[in-house]
Amino acid sequence: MDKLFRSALLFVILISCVEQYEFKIKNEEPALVVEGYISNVSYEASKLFPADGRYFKVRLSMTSDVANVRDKKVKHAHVYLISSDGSRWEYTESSENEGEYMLCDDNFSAKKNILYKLGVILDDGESYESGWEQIPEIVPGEMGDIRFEETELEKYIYRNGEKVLTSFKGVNVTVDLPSSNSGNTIYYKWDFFPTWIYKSPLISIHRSDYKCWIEDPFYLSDYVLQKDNAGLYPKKLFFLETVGNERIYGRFSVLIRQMALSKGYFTYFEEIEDQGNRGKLFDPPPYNLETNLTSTHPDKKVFGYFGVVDEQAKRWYFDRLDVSYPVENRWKADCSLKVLAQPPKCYSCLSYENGIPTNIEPDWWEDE
Amino acid sequence: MTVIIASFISTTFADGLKDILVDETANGQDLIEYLNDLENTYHVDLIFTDSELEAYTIFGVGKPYKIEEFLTVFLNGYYITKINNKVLVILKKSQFGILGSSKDNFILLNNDDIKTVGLNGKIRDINTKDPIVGASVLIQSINSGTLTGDNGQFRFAVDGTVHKIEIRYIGYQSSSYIVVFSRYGVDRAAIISMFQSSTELENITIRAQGNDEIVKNQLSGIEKLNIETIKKMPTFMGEVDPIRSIITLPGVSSNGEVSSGFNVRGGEPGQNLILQDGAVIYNPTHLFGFFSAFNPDIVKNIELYKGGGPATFGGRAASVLDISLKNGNLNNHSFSGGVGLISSRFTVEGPVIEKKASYVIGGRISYSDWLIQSYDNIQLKNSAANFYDLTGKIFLFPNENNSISISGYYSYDDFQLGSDSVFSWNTKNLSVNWDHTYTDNLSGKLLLTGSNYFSHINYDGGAESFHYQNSIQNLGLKYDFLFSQIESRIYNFGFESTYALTEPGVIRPTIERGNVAETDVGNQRGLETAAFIQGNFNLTDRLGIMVGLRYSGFLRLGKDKIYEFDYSTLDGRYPVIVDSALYSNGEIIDRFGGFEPRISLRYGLNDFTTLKASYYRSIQYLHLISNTTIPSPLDYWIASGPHIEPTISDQYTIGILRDFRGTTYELSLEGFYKNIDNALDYIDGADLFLNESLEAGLAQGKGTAYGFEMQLKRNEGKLNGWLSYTYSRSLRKFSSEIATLNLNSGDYYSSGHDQPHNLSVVLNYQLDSRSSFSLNFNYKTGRPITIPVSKFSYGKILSVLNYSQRNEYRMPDYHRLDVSYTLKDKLKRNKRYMGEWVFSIYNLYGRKNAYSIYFDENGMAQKLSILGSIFPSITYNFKY
Repeated sequence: MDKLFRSALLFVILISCVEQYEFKIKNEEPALVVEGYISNVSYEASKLFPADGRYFKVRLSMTSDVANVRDKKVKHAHVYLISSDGSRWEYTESSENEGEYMLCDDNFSAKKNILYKLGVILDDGESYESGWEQIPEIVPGEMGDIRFEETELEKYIYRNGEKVLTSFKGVNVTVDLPSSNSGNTIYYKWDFFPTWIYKSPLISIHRSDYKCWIEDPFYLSDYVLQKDNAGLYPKKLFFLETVGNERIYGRFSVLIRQMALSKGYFTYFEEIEDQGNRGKLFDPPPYNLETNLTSTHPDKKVFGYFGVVDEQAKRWYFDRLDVSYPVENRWKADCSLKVLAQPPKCYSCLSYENGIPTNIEPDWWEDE
Repeated sequence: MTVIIASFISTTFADGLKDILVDETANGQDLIEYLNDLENTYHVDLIFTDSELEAYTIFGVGKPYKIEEFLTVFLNGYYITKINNKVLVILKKSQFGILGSSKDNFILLNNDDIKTVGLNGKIRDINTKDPIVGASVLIQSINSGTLTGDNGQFRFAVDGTVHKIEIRYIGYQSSSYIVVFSRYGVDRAAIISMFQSSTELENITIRAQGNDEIVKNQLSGIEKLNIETIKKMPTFMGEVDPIRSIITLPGVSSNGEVSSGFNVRGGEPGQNLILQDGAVIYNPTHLFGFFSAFNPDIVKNIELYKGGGPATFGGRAASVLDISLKNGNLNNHSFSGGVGLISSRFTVEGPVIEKKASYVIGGRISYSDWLIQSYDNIQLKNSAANFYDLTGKIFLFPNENNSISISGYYSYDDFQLGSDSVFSWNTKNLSVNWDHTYTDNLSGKLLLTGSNYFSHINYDGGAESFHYQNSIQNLGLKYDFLFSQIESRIYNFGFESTYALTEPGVIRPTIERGNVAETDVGNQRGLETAAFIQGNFNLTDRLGIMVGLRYSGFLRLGKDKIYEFDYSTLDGRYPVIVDSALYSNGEIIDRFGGFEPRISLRYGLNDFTTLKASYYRSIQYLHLISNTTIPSPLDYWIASGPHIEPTISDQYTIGILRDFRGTTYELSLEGFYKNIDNALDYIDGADLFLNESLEAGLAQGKGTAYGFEMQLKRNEGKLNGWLSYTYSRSLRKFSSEIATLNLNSGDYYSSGHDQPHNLSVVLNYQLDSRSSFSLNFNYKTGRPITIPVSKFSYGKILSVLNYSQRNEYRMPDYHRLDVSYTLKDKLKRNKRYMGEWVFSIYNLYGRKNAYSIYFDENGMAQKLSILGSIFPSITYNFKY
């Protein structure tokens, strides 16, 4: 009885009761979402990062119910780009990725002091336009060095349902910001495209599926923002766990892309980030992000942002032997567990499940 | 003929009633004329008020009668009472009922033949002879009432010679007397002694709202709750809660489940002036809002003014909650307290110098930790929730003309959930109150106050460890004169000045080389000064008017750094800072001021129906900034200045009050309209936490609130209580040519406190002399909320949320039923120790009301219910 009573009291005081609640949304029509950017780096130039190379893309989708998981992609739209000097480029609808439109021009890049505007016409005739955008007037100097330092990160994790403060060994990866003495603010954004090697430990090294290069769009998927007025300091980009992180048992690489954005585009990402930090009791009240797109039809809503940016990138390699303490490669150990069957990846790297594997070595990959 | 008889009698007999004989010579004379002659001849006073007597002619007198006998026989239907040998009163039996039948019920006072006189008096305890402070004194004939002052004194201006006076005080037997004025009276003041109820083995009958029927005749929009009434209401965990009680009144609501502040007529919690013995209470809550900050054992009275209140109050736009603490007993030591499951309280009081000085000190402490710590769960082991408070008052009564009281208050709260942050807040208040009577007509009250409120967050998380603090401190001086030559005209005038220092926020790392950067949003300083005058006039029996005028001025003072913003260039949502100006200590940065007129009218249509109307303006110079969806310890105060104008509230009310079946039932209907200029709201995407340019995150616009309030009360009988219903709206409109200040597209939207329907039912049923049952039901429309209405993915971000218009949706409606049962110890003659058990059930049907609804990153709504289950509790209260 005593215990029951105490439980009841604690339930009230501390645990309270959180349950899902569903609002009845009043006629919220799906609206167009536009996502895309262009930069001063063309497809050809982007291969020299070094990377696979990328065309400028525009993704079109429709907003969905809050409860929905996937957005509906928009097909058969007409997407174009116009510039203040009177040029016009047409995007081509991708046959591989639904809702994706590409500017298939190997040498196109945005030029300084030229204004660009993106246009979208849907197959129902509704048309949308971005505002005039351009590469920021002040762009950073050459992208600084990528470095790392060893650190331990303390995080709360849940173990057996309980929150435990746990220490993680790893490295903080930083980029040096170049000097900036214009007095104007540079709006930086970095994002990351990791690639790592996985070798299947239980098969012959001569097999074609012994060694794979893995990419994972959801690993290191957070972007980093920074407003800068002076430069000349290292900016932390991400924390890479070392002990127990199978991605770094072999060679690990990250393409670090650095963009200088317009203030509006920067704010857009800043507010997305702010939104992602919500979900707590004392949240500030929510608000909508500001788009630079408009519809020609005043009642039609449109979301997203079209950016024109200054872009640079550096490829960074990491090896577990780069840190001062031993990091054990546990590929083999993980495939020698006393269980009924080992995971498929132990027999073919193409079955690797924590990312997208390929056994074709990228052109740009450097071993050691 | 008459003259001859009169002169004959006067020469034949001595003075005095005992010598008057009425014989057959009286036959045929007009009664009134006859009595007048007797008065002149015998130097007596034969007092009557009934004009019907004028129609009587004397007849049938045979043998001589003594005057008393004669009148008793002749005037069937009248009580004839001889008060002394000089004064005899003739009262129609229906006028005051049985009261008029006994000489003991009469109080004879001297009036020297002046037509309008002061009815002065003093109420005291029959045994201790202590003055009874705060007893209500009511004179029906002039439709006027008052509360006794610090010396137990009261004063009315009355016409005529006979008045029924009614006296009530909690814990004492109510009593009524007939006051008779005569030139043959000796006393000039009525000294009335009251009997304690318990000594008579009778149970105290508590009226649903002890004293308010007196005051209702003066002011529109005043709600008065006696602490005994509040104690009768169902409790949460056995704790009596004044704030939870006022939420049951019409026009008052709360934002969340618990009493973390309250809203009056669409106003915000920061627009309520909360005073405890004159000192400002900035956070009226304990244990994160579960309990209110006021110790129920020491609180004497609670007055809530919906609107500006009398001109003596100012500085807040929505309401004044004036809480007064009791004085310690001047004669005996006593203690009282209560033991509950997670908190207890104890109060002790008594004389320091008998009849001259007393003390009362009481404290409350929570001990919820034993529950938390004993629980075998690591997360809960790192949790804590504590509070304690200490309230004390010293009362000095050196002589009839002076009384001084010194009140102090300290409270501390902290709570920690999991092992993250410890939130804590504390209040330190001190007030000194000196009442001085200059003359019979003029008295003054000096009030010196100091209030300190600090809110902290301590976070212990390795390199991220920090300490955060915000605060407000003030020092106040007030002098308030009360002048009344006659009771129907009372003047109140004086001045007040308050210096406030606010700290909107400072954060510092608590370990060396931590990751948290030190940020200190500059302190703000302001000096608010006001002069006020008010007159309460009872022009006729039916028409009363209260007119007040207050002029308040506000100086925003340095030291401070004031930014200049350029709204044509935005950095994100914020305007760009183009310049800043540094002001030195005491330098005037900005100044504001304005008149605040207040007027309240009452007109009695008849004996049981009163019409009321009022207009109040109040100006608020300090603003509570809350940038979270629910009130939190992160809320802080800022001062008006170059970017924030004072908030101005104009409130108009009109109402009608009607009694039924005597005063058993009372129905009150009141409509209000409120216009608020320079209402504050945050801009979209505002970050008001530790932001040096926080003013740029705020917008000012128009607020409108209107509504209709109804209350039906049953004041008497075994079953008493009230039903309150309010329909009201509270809207905002912030339109501006500057995009970032144009909120919600410039359209009207619901304020965060817009809850149209609000119903409260409070019922008490006295089962027998020892036990009673209480019930409290509350229903209100859900709070407005901005919710995600759709979402999309953007790059690697899976869901970016699109929100509705501001406050376009509503949380689920709120309703809750509480019951409690109180069982008192058996009452025994001369027994000083009294105890009672209170069994209560909070949220009887276990509704999971939403305290807050928040959204995860995917936009899924999470409804947080605090007290989302049936909650029984038990408390033992005692008193010696």
